[in-house]
Amino acid sequence: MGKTDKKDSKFFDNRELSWIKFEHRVLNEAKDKNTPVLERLKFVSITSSNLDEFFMVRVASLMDMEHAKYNKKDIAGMTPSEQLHAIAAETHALVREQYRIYNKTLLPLLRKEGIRIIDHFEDLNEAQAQYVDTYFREQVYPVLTPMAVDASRPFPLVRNKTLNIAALIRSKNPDSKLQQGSREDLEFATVQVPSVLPRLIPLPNESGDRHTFILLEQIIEKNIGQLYLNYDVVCAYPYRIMRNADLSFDEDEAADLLKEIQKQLVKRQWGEVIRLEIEDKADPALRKALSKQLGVREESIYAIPGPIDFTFLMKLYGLEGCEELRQKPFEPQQNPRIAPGTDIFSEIKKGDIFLFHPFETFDPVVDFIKQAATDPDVLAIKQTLYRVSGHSPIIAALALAAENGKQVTVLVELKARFDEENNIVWAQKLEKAGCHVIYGLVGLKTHCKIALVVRREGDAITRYVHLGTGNYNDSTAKLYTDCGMLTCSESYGEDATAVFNMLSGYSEPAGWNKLIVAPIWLRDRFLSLIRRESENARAGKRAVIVAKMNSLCDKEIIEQLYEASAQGVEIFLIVRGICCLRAGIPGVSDRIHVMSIVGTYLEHSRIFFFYNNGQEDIYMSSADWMPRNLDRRVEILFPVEDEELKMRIKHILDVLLQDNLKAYVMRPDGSYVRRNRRSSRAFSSQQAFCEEAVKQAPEATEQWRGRRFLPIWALDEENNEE
Amino acid sequence: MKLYASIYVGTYETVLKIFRITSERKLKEIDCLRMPVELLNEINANGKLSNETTGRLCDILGDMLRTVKTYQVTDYQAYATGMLYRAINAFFVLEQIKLRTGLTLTVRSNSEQRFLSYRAAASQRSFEEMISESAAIVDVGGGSLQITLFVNGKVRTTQHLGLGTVTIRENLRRFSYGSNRRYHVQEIMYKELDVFTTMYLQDVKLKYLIILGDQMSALSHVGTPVDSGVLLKADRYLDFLQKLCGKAILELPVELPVLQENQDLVEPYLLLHEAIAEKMPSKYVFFSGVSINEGMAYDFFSAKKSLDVEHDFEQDILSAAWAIAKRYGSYQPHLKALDYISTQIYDVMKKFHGLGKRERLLMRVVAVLHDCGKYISIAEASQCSRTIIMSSEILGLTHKEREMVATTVAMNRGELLAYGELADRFREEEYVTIVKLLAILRVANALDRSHKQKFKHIKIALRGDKLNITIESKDSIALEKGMFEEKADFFEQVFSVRPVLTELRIFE
Repeated sequence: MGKTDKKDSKFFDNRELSWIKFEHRVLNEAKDKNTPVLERLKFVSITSSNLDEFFMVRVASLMDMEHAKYNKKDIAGMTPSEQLHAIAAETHALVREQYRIYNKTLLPLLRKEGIRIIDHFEDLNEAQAQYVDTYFREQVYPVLTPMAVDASRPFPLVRNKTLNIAALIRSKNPDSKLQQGSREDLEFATVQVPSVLPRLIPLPNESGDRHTFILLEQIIEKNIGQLYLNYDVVCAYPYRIMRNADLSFDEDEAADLLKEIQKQLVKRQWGEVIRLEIEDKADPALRKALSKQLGVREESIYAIPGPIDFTFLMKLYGLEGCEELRQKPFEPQQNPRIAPGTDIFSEIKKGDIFLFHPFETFDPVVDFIKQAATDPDVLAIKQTLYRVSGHSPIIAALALAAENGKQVTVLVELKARFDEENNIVWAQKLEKAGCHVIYGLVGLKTHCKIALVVRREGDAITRYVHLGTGNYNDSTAKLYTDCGMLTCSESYGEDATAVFNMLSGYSEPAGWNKLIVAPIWLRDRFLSLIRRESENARAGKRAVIVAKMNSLCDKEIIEQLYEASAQGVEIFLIVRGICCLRAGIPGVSDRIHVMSIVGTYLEHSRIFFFYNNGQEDIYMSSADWMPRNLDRRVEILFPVEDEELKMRIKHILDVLLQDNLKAYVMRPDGSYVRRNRRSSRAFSSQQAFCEEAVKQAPEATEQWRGRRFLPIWALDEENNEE
Repeated sequence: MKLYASIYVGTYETVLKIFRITSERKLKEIDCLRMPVELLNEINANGKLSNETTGRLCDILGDMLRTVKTYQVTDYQAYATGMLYRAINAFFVLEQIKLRTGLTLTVRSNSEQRFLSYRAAASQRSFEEMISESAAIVDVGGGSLQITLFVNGKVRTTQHLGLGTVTIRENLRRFSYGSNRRYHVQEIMYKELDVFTTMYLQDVKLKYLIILGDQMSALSHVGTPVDSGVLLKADRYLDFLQKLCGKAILELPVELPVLQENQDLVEPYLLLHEAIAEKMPSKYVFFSGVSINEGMAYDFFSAKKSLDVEHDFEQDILSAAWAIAKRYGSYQPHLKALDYISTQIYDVMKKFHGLGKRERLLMRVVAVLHDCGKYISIAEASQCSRTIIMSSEILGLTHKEREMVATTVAMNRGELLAYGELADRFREEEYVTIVKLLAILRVANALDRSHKQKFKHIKIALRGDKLNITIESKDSIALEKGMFEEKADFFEQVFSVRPVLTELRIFE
């Protein structure tokens, strides 16, 4: 093979298609026989809500490009139109798979456990039918707003992501003069399934059943006649639409970012329809009427063989009294160095502290802010907030600190997608408490996770810094795997101060000590770190890169990795989601191995290891290798320098690379297969981390010492999908 | 806590730095806020600052003050560039800042502000070694350029050139339609620098070029700790500049993170430094990484004795005075005699004049510069001396001090001006100081009227209300005696002490 052009688009995967592959991996979890049934439902639900977001953001922007006749090819050489066609085909397949699993596997399993979901009101017994009718009259009917469409009544606004029931109706009084001339006497009507009511309504059980539910839309369908009293309802079917919701606004012109976002939130209800889901058995006339009115193209119509919008399964997941149907929840363990009540500041003084969520609790991070809020020597607290939980203890601690007279500066990122509403509320609450709230830089999302506590200690100023890979969100910290570090090293403290000054609109510092900050310096640093490994490999030295992240789709980085592979660098990538890089292509990426771990917890940490001829460099970051992280966000890459911490992180990478239960590997054609376990026993990295966290006694940190870093890698594996 | 905050409102940016003294008695920066605020272009264009800019300045200064308070810093000072006084509404702007933020902003004259940046550089470890051979300290500002030349450890001159990044940018804009805009601007810079080099650098081979400010060190990606700085080979530096200057403007900013928000200043900044490096070739280039904010901190902490000062700034002032005297051909033996006699009188009279160490230094500068004006006109020597002093910067003297020196010298041979005639320039106590220095100068000067240093030994002693000056001389001192009485009258008027001259004639 001659010299290969590594920039050839055939060596890259389209990011949307790669994302759909990831959704398939998530959906595979719903097929895992060893997983309890409610957990499996949860995975179906996750793919459903993920798909919603995917449509609203990704598909929508591709459609915008198509409308604008923007024909630039992507990394894989596809135009927006080509991508849309490919996406449509793949998402149809994904949806088919969702419903196949739900109908063929999960429903029967639930049935076996005495849980019944009645999908068609025709299946109700008499008592249940009566219950349903009463429920309809008392609870549902009062909040319904049926709307008919005719010459004098235009098609109503169907709200984004709401479930609706469309019906064809015929007047009971065909001789009426008013009705003359209407086509075949059929009229179109629609009613929204109220989102204020629960989607799953519990019903009286039949003997032997533990739980029986009916879906709200079935209750309405059953009683739909009552909505159109002067008409006969010919047919009625639920449907749902998705609109273009990509928030695009001109930041330069928005004098007040906050107001602008509030305005946009109202606008989000409108926009072009990019997906229509309708029950597969729906009357063709009804389907035609709907698609015509909404202006949906054929490939955007999804015929759904079951309940539309699986997000209600999340509610089912939380069903009370069915503990045996869920995985036993893992209790996040105490960090060995921070027992409750520990003075965090003096503990940090003893040396950097590594945090590993959700295997270890998020409490140290919350306590870090809490203790700072009441510590008389603390002068200032500064923190970035991207996505925070409801009732966030961190917000409460920050507010308390401000009330205690500390200078509290909080950067609230208003542009966190779909969280804007939430974030505005917190921002205002913090402002009221006396915090100095800043809203980030125009044109850049602030995605870095950093908290700084400035403390006066005698004659000196000591700065304590928390740096993390995940958001300051105590709820997601129980579900996402993330790492963090607490340090009071002076160089980190100085850099942290500079980061906040920069975020407040002041000029960047003349130089950085430790932190590498996007959008200005990060890309170059990554490229040069990869290049350094290449050079070492070329010089015949050992060269290894291990990188763990959520997504990898930056062309420049991928090309650099291909180059490194060609030079002989061994590259192990643990990429949970999108990966536009193709692994194992001869002459291009022979030495690159890509794996993806999809488990109980969402893999979210970003860790980067460079062998550096033995002077191992380990970094953690809030950034993925994606253009948006490298070029359009404020991100931080920070080195881990404490030897004990480095050892620990190497161990973590080591364990991740050994996963053969929840791990998939990418084949040269871009497809993912589960790893071939051969004869070795099943090993789940997340499970191992849980066990380690439990075992970890305060003095147990010694155990990381001397671990050798030797990834075990099985190539050429067979697809052993169950 | 040993914390200090310095705020400096410059011609194109406003900077807050907070420092602390480490346990090793070193200065350490703990926070820095830097915000571009253009003042000079508005002042140049409209002669005043707009309300918008004033408001912006208030917002920024208010925020900086908030940061100062966050660290519970109680010692802070805020200075503004002397260029601010070019705005006709400068006083209203200062007043608004005071009322709206509570911050008293003091405007510093060019030499004072330059002294502070220089002071920071001089506090760095390698400074003494560098100036001991030959070094030029270059301080590039928005409106002007200051070059201070050291030869053999002594200040040779400090010159204020009308080349600044903002002024060069204006020139670049003026020529923006021509294809040779850079060339024209370079011409202007070269011409100005040539004047300096022909006058002061002809006989000097520069060993070090010391660059003040933290921009250049950031450009070249070398970190500069506050107390050390970085040394580079000059040819590497020139290479680096020429490479950057060869680029189109649009390519520049990415490489230059520090100036990113002042993007249109990048090009003039680089061109000016390139011109300096070419016109003032040296063996090494030193990036000090410090600027006026550090200088303010050094000034503050050394006054508090929290920092040890190695460099002798008083000696700089004297060297500068001597350099001026030499430049204008003053007769040096006379100056030396005068310096000696006047300090003798000053020291003996301590109880009666009540002045301090700083005034003693002024006395010596007065002595050295008292007749430099003779170079221009012998008849008008005093007035000409005054003019020379007022147009020569003496790094380390405040503007007020220099004016006091000039006024003392101007009255040496004329009438004593009443306070009323100087009240627009001096406070009463300053006037009294001037008169005291003048009285001593006149008596001392009378003792060497002939400029022949006829005295072998001079003894000065205070006896009651008499100042006995006993001199041993080989020659007749009739001339000196003749001039003496008149000067003694004035001296007595000022101090109520009468100088009495006794002669001890020696015959060898």
